[in-house]
Amino acid sequence: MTLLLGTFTMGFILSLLAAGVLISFRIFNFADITAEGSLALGASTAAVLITAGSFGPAAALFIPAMAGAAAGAITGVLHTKFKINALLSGILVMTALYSINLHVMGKSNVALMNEQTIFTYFNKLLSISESANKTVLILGFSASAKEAAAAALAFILASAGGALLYWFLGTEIGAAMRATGDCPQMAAALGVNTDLMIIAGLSVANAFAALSGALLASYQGFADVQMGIGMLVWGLASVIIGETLVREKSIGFAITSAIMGSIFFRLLVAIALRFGMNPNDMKLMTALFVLAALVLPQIYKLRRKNC
Amino acid sequence: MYSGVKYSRKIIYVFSKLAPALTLIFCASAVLLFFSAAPVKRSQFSKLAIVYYSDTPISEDGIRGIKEGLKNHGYEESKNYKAYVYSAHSDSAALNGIIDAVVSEDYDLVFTISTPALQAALKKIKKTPIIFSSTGDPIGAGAGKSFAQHEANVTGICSLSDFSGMVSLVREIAPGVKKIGTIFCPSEINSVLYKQHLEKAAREKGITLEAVGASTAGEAVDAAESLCAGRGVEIICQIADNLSAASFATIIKASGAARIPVFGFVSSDAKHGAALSYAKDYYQGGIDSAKLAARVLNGESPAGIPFEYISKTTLIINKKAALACGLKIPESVYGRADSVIE
Amino acid sequence: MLELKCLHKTFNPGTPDEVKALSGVSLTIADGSFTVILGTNGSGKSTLLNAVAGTFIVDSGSIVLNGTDLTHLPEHRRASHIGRVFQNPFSGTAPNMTIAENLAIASMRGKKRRFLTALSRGAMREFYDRVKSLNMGLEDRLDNNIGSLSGGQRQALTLLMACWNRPDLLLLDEHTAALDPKTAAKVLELTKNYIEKDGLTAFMVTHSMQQAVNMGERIIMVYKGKIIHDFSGADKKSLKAKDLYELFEDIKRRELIDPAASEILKANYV
Repeated sequence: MTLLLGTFTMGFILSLLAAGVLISFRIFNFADITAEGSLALGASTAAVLITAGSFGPAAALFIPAMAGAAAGAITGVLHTKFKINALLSGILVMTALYSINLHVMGKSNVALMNEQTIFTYFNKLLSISESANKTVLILGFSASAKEAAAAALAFILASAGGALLYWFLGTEIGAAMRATGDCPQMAAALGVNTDLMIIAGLSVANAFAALSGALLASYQGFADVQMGIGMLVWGLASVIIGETLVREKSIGFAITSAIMGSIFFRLLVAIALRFGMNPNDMKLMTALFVLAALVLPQIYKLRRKNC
Repeated sequence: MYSGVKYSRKIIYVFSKLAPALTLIFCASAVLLFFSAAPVKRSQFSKLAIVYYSDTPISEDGIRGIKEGLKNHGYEESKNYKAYVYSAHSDSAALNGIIDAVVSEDYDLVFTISTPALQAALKKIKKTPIIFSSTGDPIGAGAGKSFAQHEANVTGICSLSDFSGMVSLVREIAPGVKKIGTIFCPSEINSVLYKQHLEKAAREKGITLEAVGASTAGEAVDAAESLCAGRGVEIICQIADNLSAASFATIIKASGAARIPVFGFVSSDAKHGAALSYAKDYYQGGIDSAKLAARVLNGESPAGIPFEYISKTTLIINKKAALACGLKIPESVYGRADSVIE
Repeated sequence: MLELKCLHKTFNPGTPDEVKALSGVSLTIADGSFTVILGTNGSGKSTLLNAVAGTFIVDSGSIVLNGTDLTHLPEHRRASHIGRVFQNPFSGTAPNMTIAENLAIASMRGKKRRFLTALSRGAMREFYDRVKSLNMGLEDRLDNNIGSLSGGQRQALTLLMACWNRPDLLLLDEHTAALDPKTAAKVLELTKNYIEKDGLTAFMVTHSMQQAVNMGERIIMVYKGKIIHDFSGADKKSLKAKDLYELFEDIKRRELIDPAASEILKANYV
């Protein structure tokens, strides 16, 4: 049960990253690698705020998200105003963020072992003691109350994040943003400032990535400057696997499917690890999962055509 | 007239579309739950996990050391223990997944190599003993208040090199030295820590440390060139971190061209062209952590075992490399050397 | 009133690909008039339209619409005055968004977009009524993605969207060229209706001489970035497709002779 709860918690935390990747990858059609830097930026900002102690749990999520938004805005400005290739703009900002994160933390790694994070606040709210190992029964399985609470909190935050994104993309501004990615010519012809929309969209995307990083640091108990590495692939995998699971493209379904994709992907990885997969093969397996998610629907389509 | 879709029908529609995904997630959860709840067969086998963060020579040395050390204490792989080695490939998400997998399995003991691996384990593993190595600052990582007072299920080997020993060695071999140098990696917590320790040890003996930062193997090339050119560095005392381990050849090449001797903190450094190595090895760290592990496996509680430093310092001299840069090593130092490469 | 004064535009200046797309176009279009621009491929007729729309900023000259100087405004700022329909039916609508969402974006043209839901009930009712007026049965498919519609349906919707908040100027860039004749006729019919009903000032590019004869009150012929003919009033009414065809033939003959060669000929024989 602990394994399952841990898997779900990680799945929900990283689904915020997936939501961010959904914006850059599915709305603006490019994989914004700034997300790797923003995730670490979110984690380091959160770690510094948490160790400083005088900020509440909300500030330790909100400020990192704003920092991520700023990073995304810079990528957007580089891309739209200086006409730098989108991928390159992302790489530039990601590279710069590596140094910035080192400055934010003052070192490469900050431990949050006994600090007050949003998870400990939530435990306090549910009157779960930090030291005692209280257990609860879930579906007849006993599980650590802290792990269950962490999973519940991650679920609540991921749902809230998803709902917020759904609402935002349905507003007049959100719709204009989606149109910018879908058909820039049409958007401009209808008075949408497409440059501004790309900048704003990448801000939102990276705010989500940073939020994910802030939660990840709080959950795992440390922030490390290298923790963004490889994260874009997780996000892309979640989005793509989610799309394969839920074959509906409308925005509500897209967000839900990204969250589900994140969960399902974590489950697959957990099962593979549980069955003693050689860890050296893990990156290979990630690539294969994503490949399967991309190829299977096509095979399915082909077979239906032939029948 | 426009009429909205009825809510009940909308909900049914949404669920019908999400059904396949929900089913798959449910099935996968069930598989995971079933297998993580399944009783693990107990046997005379000890089940050990080795968790490390990034694939580097340092991690590999550590693993080798752990296995060698276990052998010294009568543990033979596939005879009376089985070790499961997990690498996170420098990926935080993977690291947490590995720790979750380790928690749900009934391991007798978990070895962690590197600081992030220890931190992730600390957060989640509360019962299974954790033996760490390749961690420069276990207190800073959150493993305890002091070497003796620490988390009940944790003990391990602090991988701090003998910095003052190294500086004394420098003084002994080249008494007039004013400035030594090193490359360090700002993004590795151990590297920064070692740099600070070396700086302090050097200052106590009136030597200044010139440290050049580099974050990637590519930057290490420039850093090495910059360190060897015009900074007045007389001896390079290269601290042991992942970056320098990966790009040691670069450092040797640059220093060789400038005829600046290199003293290494890793024993293999001498073999790879350093004039000498004065090493508390990650390999030795592995051996030492296996010694602590053997005590824990024999029933001792980790709570009562204080953290230790790596036990042995090995001095290896590379005669050829020393001569090549005109370094004269006194006989007294030769006499103390554990081995000399001719 | 739209006033174009001495517009110049050169693409890729100083390179072997240099193209003088507009060389001194001046034109005044009265309010509520329907002007057709005719020209061969590469004559600069679409460039002229794009210059007005703001796809690019002209090198020199000025563009003034109802007293507002648009010359240096970016495309999206001009859009509050201008409605556009493109030649490519895929350019005027966002394919992965629903009909309703596309209309919602169009309905905000020239207004400040807010953090309020784009598909409110009131808005949906208006979308339903207006789409119904197209008589294409699309009003029951407001939740479908536009990408699932035919080119003609998309073009009709683009037209509806362009005219949504009565634009000061409607730009039509060969908007029926990519459609089959029957659909093209239907879309042209709709175009006429909208222009007449709202009294729109319209500017339509076409290369169909029949269309030029049938529609509008004024024909402007463009060649090599310059206006070479301008028919309005009675001249326009008496104009037949055959006359236009002959003018075209004339252009073609001229095109066969290299401009440099024609200079030499002129110098020697005229």
